[in-house]
Amino acid sequence: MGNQKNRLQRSFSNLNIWIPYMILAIILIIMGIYQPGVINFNWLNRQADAWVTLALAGIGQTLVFMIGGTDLSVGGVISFTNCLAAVYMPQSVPGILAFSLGILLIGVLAGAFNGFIIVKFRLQPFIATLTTWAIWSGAALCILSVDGGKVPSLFTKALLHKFGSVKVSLLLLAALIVIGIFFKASRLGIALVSVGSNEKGAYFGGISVTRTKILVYMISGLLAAASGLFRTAQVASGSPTAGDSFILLSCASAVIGGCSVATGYYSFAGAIVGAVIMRLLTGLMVATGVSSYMTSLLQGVILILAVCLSSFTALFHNRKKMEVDV
Amino acid sequence: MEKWKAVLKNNSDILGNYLISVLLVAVISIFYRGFGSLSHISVLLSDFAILGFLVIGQTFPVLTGGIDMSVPYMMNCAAVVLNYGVNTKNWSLPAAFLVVAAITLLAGTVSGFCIAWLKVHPMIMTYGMNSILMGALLSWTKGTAGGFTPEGLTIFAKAKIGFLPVVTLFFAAGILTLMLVLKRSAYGKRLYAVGNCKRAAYFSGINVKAVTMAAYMISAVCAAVGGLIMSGRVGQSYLGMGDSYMFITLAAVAIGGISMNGGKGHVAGSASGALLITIVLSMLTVLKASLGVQQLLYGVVLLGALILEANKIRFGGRRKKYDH
Amino acid sequence: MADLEVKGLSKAFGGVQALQNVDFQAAKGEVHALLGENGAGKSTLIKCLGACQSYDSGEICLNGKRLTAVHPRQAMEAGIGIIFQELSLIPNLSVADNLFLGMKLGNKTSVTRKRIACRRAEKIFEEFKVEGIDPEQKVESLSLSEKQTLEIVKVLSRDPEVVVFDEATSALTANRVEWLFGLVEQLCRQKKIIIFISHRMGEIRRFCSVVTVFRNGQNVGTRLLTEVENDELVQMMLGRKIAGYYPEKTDTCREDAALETKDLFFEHYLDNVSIRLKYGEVVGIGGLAGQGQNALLLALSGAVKAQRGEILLDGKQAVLKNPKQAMAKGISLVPEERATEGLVLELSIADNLLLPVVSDIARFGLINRKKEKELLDHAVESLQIKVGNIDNPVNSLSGGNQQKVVLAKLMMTHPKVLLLYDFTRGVDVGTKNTMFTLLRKLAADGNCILFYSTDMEELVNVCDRVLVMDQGAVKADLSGERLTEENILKASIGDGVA
Repeated sequence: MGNQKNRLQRSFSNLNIWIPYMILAIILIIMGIYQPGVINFNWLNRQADAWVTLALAGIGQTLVFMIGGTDLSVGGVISFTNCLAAVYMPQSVPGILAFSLGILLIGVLAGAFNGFIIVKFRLQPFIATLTTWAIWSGAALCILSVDGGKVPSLFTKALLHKFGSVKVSLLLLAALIVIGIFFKASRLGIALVSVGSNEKGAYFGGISVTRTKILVYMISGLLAAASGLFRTAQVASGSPTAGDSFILLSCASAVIGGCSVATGYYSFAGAIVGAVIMRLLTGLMVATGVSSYMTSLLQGVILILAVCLSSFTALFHNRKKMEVDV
Repeated sequence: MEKWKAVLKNNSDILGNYLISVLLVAVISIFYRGFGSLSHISVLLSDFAILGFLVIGQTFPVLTGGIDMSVPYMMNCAAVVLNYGVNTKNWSLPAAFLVVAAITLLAGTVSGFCIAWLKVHPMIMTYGMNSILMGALLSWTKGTAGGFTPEGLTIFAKAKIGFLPVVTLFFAAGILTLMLVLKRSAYGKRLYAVGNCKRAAYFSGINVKAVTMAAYMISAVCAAVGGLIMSGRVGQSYLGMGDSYMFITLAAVAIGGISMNGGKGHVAGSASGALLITIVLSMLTVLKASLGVQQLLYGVVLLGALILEANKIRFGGRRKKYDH
Repeated sequence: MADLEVKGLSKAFGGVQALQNVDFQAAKGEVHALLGENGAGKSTLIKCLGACQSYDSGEICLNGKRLTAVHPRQAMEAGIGIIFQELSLIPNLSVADNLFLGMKLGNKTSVTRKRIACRRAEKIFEEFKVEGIDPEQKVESLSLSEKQTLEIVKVLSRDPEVVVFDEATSALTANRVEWLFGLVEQLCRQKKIIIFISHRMGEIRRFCSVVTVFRNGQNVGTRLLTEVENDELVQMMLGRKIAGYYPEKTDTCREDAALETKDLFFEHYLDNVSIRLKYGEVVGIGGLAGQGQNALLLALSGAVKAQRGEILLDGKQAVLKNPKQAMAKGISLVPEERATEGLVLELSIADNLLLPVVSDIARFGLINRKKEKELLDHAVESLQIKVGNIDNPVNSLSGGNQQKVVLAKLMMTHPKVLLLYDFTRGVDVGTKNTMFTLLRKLAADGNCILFYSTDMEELVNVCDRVLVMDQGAVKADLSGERLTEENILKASIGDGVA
């Protein structure tokens, strides 16, 4: 009896893990029906650019979700790094390299600041990162008040380069999936689940909760800065509001990607698939002839449904515990 | 007398906000003649009324420990639906008002329901609701923004008694009503209990979920009122008219002494935050500060307010320990 | 010089002194038992030892060297291993991941970590002779006994010098206790310092050689177990009797049943509880902490729904979805945590008192000032709450007066059945007297009272009847002559009652 129940429960949580992949398959099938022949390797190559920016932010958001936080500042960091790169990036090769590294460092520092104020002053993550979002996007506006700027062509070429027929973005996505597998097995990857699932237990078990939290925000900042760099190369200009749409979308990617504090499950691949789904929805709507006006409506509905789904999983999980449902 | 003294003492930072606001106006008007003129003050007061309605609405979800990020499109929705309905669909004005009321209440109820019963995170729920409203609005009006505001509303929004705009008086009445709701009504007592400690409220026989849901409904209605007044003042509605307000309302609420953790503060306080921000905004415009500097300043000010509040609680706690 | 020495340790939580200048010594190769009632300070001492908590003054020395750890990890590295009562396992991680939580494991970012961890976990399980736990399994799918076993193995596999078992046997099955016994003997031979906390006298006699008794945050004495009788230990634990403040018990019990439960069941918490409470009766619930008492009260107050079984009120089945409904039907609960469940600390005394009845005194949603004042005056008067100003926040009151406010708040709804969870904890003697007098008076008026307390003396002196719970089931129903502290203690620790 107990065994059967266990198996049932396990298959239920497994189902949850496969949901993003199933949604992706359904979207691809629908697109294939409406526009036969459109999905091929070239299409993948073209789309990968749009996917990678969101996937990077989505992975960062996933990690932050897993420690029970939220990082809204990704929007500000993306805008800021985008504007910074579009305005000040030098032409020479060493200059570009150093500048890119500097931008990634800014992302890390932005994340460290988020983590610091959240841990030190015990601020609620979303309100704390809301303020840093405002600060970074304000800084972006200071650099560039309207869309513009000029990006060195070398930089654009480097990030849009094709190795054979495979684009850098596609390679990076593949690399992220592999890195994800390593990360999940690493000490930080495990510490993060333990902090999210039982903070007191993790502390008693010898995990440094403060350090873990700050590190996770740092990673999120780093990934947001990387996303900002890619966006700069793709659009070849800067926009002070470039990152704003990423806030909702990155949360959506993380949630649809199946990460859940209640079950302790997360994966980079899931977050990437979540990002791909969010990006494809627009394409899907075009393909099926839904008005573009409906895009944001459907995005909102899908986000809320996905969150409801994960909160149902949590409810299912908690039913066996004697919790007071306030 | 004793009681009034205590009230004054407890709300000293709110009084401070009002005082700083007045001082700011006085100081800037020394450098810029026009700033302190009656006509400009009248403009400031009606700006204050618009932001104020959004902010006192936002106060309620924040008092429950939540947040309402659907304010921008809630106000946009109200304005556009009214104008589009009257201009394109030939609704009568009262009918249009009824539709607006129904839509905002429905949106607030849905947000509140999902947050209270389905345990969706308030931020994600209301952000999602914001984008749902935006999409619904766009597809209903086919991207047109609704056009000009009906005459009745513009007259109301622009009317003045002396230099006092009628909308500001209307807003003052709004504050008084909501203050009464918070301090003297059964709902207010329950709201504070829920905001401070959900479990204790639950064990005291309070329907925590219903109280939470109602807070989001009040916020939706207040946002709609703010949107309508704004549309009346501008004379037309346009898409994105509320976009800049999402963050400002939160900043005003935080400056007005409402704890982001819920349960502390009241609408008179958040209104003081709104006043201060209105004046600072206008000041930045006069000083020709760029949008970027404005946003940067918001961020820094809000962060400062949050950190101050967090530390105040901690110092307070330490002091308490010594008392016992 | 003892191998482990605690000197003058003090720790206060708010106004409550959890540890008062405690001295404690333990030597290598001995199994040292800590005994004491709930809240006597044993767990606080252990947490200070493991650096899970800071202390106000005093010092802890191991092998003559002062411990300066401020994070549990540092204490671990200094050789202190604590097996916690509340499990510090992470339910969402696999058994192997939990086993090596926070540890370096060879090549640290390797994907093969999972395989290495599993292989090492299997080796460790073999070494400790544990069978039937799959290293890849998630911890939440383990039974309580298996979790406890894993917790023990996790700590011991790190080879600590000091091993603390904080009620580590409470959830173990009988053959696992045997297994643990072998393990402890082996640790003894390895000259480890072993500290053993348990409420079960039988286990203490079997496992330990020395015992130290705690009471009210103080060390009341250390004895060799071979030289001390159980009676003496119980006496030491309970302390000198303070008599005279209990009201006289009169039999006010009526015939008709107020509240009945039939086979109330909740996995891991309640095991087919069937009880029958009559009007005019004060019934106590006893037993060790965490044996389902809270679950029972929560289920009766509507805060949680039992998985099976039914609740009957006045002989009719009652559906209690939440405390609000239960209150409307006349059942009120004084919950476990005064600060987070009983009261909204930041609100004023008046607001707290009025919370359950705000709708009754409101017209068109607004509160009627006259009715409000009448109710408040009545409440303050009837419970003799010493309030300076009723508009002051409730956290300006002392613990005892706060608890009076909780009670007064619930009395506003005129409950027929009053459920009380350990409501005299942290309350001074005078207040206790007032409260017990009130309880007896309420019973005399025909109300039914169910009263859980960790203080056995109170149960014996206040209640007409005491139900003792163990592992979610009611193990004994004591009344009349049989209602003694010894019998309650015996029933709680699994001994039969004469």
